Amino acid sequence: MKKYWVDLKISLANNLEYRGQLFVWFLNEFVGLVSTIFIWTAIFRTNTSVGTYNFQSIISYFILIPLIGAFTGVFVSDYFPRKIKNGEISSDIVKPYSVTGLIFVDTVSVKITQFTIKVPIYLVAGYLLANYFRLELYFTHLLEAMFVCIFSFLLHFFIDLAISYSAFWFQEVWSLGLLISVIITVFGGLAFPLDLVPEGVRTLFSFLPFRFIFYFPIKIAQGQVPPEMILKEFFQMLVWIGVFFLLCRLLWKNGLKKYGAYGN
Amino acid sequence: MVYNWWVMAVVEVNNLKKYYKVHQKEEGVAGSLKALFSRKYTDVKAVDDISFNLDEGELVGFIGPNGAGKTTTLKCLSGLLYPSAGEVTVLGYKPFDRKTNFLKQISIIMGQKNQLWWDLPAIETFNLNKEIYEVPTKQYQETLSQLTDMLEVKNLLKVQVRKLSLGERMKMELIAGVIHSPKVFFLDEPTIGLDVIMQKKLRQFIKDYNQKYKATIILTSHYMDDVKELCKRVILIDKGRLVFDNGLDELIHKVANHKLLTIALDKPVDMSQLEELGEVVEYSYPKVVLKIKREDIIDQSTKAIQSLQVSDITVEEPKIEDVIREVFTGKDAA
Repeated sequence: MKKYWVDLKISLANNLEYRGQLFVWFLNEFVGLVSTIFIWTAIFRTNTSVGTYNFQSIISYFILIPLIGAFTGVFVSDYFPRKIKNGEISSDIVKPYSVTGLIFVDTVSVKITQFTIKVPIYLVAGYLLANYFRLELYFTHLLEAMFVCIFSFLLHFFIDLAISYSAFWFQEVWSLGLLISVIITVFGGLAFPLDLVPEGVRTLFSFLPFRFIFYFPIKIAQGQVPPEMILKEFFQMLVWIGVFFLLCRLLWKNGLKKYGAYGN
Repeated sequence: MVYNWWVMAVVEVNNLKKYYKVHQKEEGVAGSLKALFSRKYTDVKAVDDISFNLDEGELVGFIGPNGAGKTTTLKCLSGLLYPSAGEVTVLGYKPFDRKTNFLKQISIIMGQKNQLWWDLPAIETFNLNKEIYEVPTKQYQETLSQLTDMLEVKNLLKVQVRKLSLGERMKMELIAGVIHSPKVFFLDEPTIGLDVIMQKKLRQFIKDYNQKYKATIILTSHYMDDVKELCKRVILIDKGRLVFDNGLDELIHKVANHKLLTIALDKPVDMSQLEELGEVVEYSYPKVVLKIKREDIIDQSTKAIQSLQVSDITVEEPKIEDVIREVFTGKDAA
């Protein structure tokens, strides 16, 4: 295990080399949040409610997205498929460690880096915005959501990793990565709360794993999921994590037989 | 399987094949559009039925033109590629199984690929490799000290990798590759792009490592100097097939059926006189180089001394570069 610990420390040191990138991450989310607030403020000028949401609850939903995203966002498919295609994973394959374990550690290190920078800013900004918009957010619900987020992160990680490992078969996995990001934006609850869609579509969403990445923890943070429902959904989430974990193992094992180790 | 070096070869390759399916795309936009709907694939035989064994401590040169299958073979031996057919065992393991005990005892260095963390000093990668390979601290410190002395990079350990020169980076790659003292070491073009002095230093390092650790090393290189200085045995591979596997001297004897007679003349002579002795490779007074069949070399040398006014005469084997070119092109070595 010590090898993964040392890798985590080195990976952290490496991330800190990219301070500029950290700032751009932050700016990107800030601009996104401000424009979403503008859009919903405009919508509520002529409406008092949209579906089951009033102005306060919709704003709190979108303010929670970057905070939850700091836990559940995963970006393995942004770089790993290219590494497979260019043969850059060769030096990892010939080393006595688990490549999946290594990617996990590296992803965790990115999370820690983002955390140390983002979370304090988000908490302060969230507090100020909550006061300004008179939002009702409770610490206990936030804590529950944080706990669930650990598993949302695991699920997102294995979904993204499965996409990445499919690069062994599809040389151009870029479009697949884009497709999954569109799916998560829509089916995960990033673009809009999933309970705004009609009943039939909502049933379809409930068969898919994507809602656990954003929508489910946000609703818990808002205090809108009853405890027995949390437990039921949580169990389902664990099953999905297991499914994608096994899928990743299968893809890795068989993908290596397809690996071309090109580029040299 | 338990590996016993006294009964088994360190590397055993039997009828190894590695075929690729390659998409044949026609040129231009029209070709790209056509490829959207139907694609033609052809099989490329990168490695086609080769067999050889290597014993402990052997340092073997793997030689062939570009695309001959050298690197593909190394990748199959290190577990990077899954063979299409045939059997490979290294230290008693099937490389593709990637067993921890196997991976701990091997290393592969590919000249243009790096395992070093680009934005961090090389020492960070070495420390990480120490943990990955579970090298005891004392052994790690001793090995690191020896290697950095040998390659003269002690003062560069804390410099970010991206700020190192190509040669310095290659040295660091070598250290990262051998910090765990591998028993089998695959080196793919380790001296590529380096200047002559640096090439010499790396060669010395490989030689010392081989002798000190009794490591089995396979080296591919385009530089004949690497092979000449390091390898007693060479394996020639062309179009995926093994064409020669024996000592360097045997290669010269087998392929080149002639020797080179170099004469320094005291007085200019007619070309026809020289042609009576053998094939004239070079004549620029006072130097003459003649190509003469092995069995005739003594007679023709004696004849040259008797019939010409010579101040010096030497008999040499043809250059290894020329012999190898002869193998691959079918043209006579000069």
